[in-house]
Amino acid sequence: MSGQDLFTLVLAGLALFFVIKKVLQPFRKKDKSCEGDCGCAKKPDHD
Amino acid sequence: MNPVIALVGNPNVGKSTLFNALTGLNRRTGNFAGVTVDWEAGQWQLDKDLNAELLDLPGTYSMAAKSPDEAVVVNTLRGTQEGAPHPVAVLAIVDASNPERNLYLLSQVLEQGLPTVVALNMIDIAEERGLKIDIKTLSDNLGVTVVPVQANSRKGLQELARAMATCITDGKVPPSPDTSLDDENKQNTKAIQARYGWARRMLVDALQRPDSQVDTFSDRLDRVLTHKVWGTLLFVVVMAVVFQSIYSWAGPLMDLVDSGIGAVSDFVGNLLPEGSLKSLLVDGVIAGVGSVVIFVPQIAILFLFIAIMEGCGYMARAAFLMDRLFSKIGLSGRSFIPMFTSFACAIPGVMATRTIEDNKERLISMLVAPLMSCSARLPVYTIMIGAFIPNTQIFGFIGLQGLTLLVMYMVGITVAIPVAWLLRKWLVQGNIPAFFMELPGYKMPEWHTVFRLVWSKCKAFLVRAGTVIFAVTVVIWAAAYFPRDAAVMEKHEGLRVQARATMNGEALEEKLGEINNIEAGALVQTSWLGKTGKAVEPIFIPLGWDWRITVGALASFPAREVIVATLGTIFNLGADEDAQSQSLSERLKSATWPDGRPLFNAAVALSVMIFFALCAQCGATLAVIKKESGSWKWAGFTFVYMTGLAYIASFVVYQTAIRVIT
Repeated sequence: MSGQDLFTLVLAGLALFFVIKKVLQPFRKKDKSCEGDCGCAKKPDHD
Repeated sequence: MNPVIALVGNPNVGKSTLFNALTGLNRRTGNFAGVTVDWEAGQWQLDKDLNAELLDLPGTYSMAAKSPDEAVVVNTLRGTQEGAPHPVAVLAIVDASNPERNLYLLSQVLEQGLPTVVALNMIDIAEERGLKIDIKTLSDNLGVTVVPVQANSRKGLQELARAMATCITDGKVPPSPDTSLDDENKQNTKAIQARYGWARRMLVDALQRPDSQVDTFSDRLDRVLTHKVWGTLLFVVVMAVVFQSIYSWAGPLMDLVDSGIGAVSDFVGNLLPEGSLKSLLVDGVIAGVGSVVIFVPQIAILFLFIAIMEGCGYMARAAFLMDRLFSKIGLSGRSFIPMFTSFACAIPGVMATRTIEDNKERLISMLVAPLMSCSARLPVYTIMIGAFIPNTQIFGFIGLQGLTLLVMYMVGITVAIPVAWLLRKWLVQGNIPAFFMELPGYKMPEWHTVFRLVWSKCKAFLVRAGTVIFAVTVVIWAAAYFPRDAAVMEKHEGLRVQARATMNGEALEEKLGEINNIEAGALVQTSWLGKTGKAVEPIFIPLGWDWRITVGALASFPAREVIVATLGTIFNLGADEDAQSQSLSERLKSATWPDGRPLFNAAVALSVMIFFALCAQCGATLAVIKKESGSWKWAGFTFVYMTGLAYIASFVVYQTAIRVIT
């Protein structure tokens, strides 16, 4: 496997990690993005 | 800490419009009740030295909360709303065209004992109806400052800020309305009469009514648009025009974007040497993300129509028309708003069910809302329709492609009807609730609101293309590119050496191109993606799909548009070199099964579209259903019933269509 192949595979691995994180995000308890990509604004933090 | 002010009023009186005007934020607005279902805060500068935090709240007719969105108002004013700060003052917004009913809520707000200022909005509509309000007299009667405003044209905002600053500085609690009610009687019928009696007393010398009822433009228009026959017919015509326009208007712009993407692909392709990096950029990123970006013009046109329909007041009429149909399946016209909202995105659609008082009706609406075709499905429909449905006219004026798109959008609502009926019958029994809905006056849409919605949706679409879709594309590319099967490469290298030894000139070039194409196809088939796709292909063969469509559909669970990007990548990686400059649509048309039969035809296109129309391919929607229903059970149920339904419907459609076509 060439260095170029290894580089693209690492990129793909990072992309996979990002996709999994993005898919699981709405299911996390503390997610405040509500509709996220669909345009709902985030609430300010009142802590 | 800045003082907190609660913005309170009836539904659809312009609260969010006023909130946006005062805070400079862009909260969603629309000319129908129930746009706002949760609270949001913004900074309002009252004067040079005084900033306040303004809380925009959902609309409510009274403080006796019946639905979850109304409960937000009551809880916020009482300081018990989770996450929301406790307000120290109230900005009560009153619709000048319907003051009596608005004062009913005000009577309850004043009882909360918080310093209050009244913003009298929609003075222009009141004047159109022949109503004249004496501001000073009303203010004296109520014992609070009343400021006339026109939120949509930003009139009276400085006076309102000054009045609010004075109100907060003085901290004067308004007199409690004299409704002669004790605590026990505050919620019963007697209380309703007493409150309306108080409202009438407040208005007796402050409101001048016309001698006779004014027949307004809205009244005249409603006689047609809410008519049982003409109204329904016009609704279908409006929808047909919308979907035909999506095709006819977007076409030239899409061609422009397509040629731009082609030019970028050629430029990058010529710049980089052969290898995985070039393939990642050309076959993965540009072919994949580019296939999705091309749909921005259609998304813009879809949301332009949605925003106009919301802004002019037609939405409420459509809900009124739908009530007749919905009441037969155990729902009411109230459920139409969440469903219509879901045509843009199911997440705000599910959240919009908070306006429904009846819990059972709310749950059913929540479970069927994701069946509506959201904007993420639009690219799937248009790529299939554009490639496999002929661009012909029926009766000389109805475009077949636009009609097919309309039918695809109707699939969701058509399937939702029996599903809702079955849910009402088996899972969530109960009586059909009565439907009351205020029909707002027609008005010209606020163009800045319309274009803001169009812009925000296009931006969100591009952000998705640049984040999730981009990332999925990279993953799909890697899975379809690696591992480079040494046996396949050696075999084809041998063929190339042989060709070079025996041929020359154009014949050699032609032969090498042929070998490269066969090698590309073989490498994709032996890739991780190819092997996985082949393993699951038998499950989807009855739907007319090969492994490439199958992996495209499976990869689309993070975001539906991914199918387009995935097909773009797979068909570019495995495509003939000549075909790589073609649009995805052309590449799909030339794709074949191993025996040479065309992979796609109208039956396969319909099967793919039906699957995407009905399948639950949105994790965020399932998460919102869990949050709104309070149970994983209903989120899981939605996933199972929608995905099962998608498979069965797709199977039936394909098996029927293939027999009709052949």
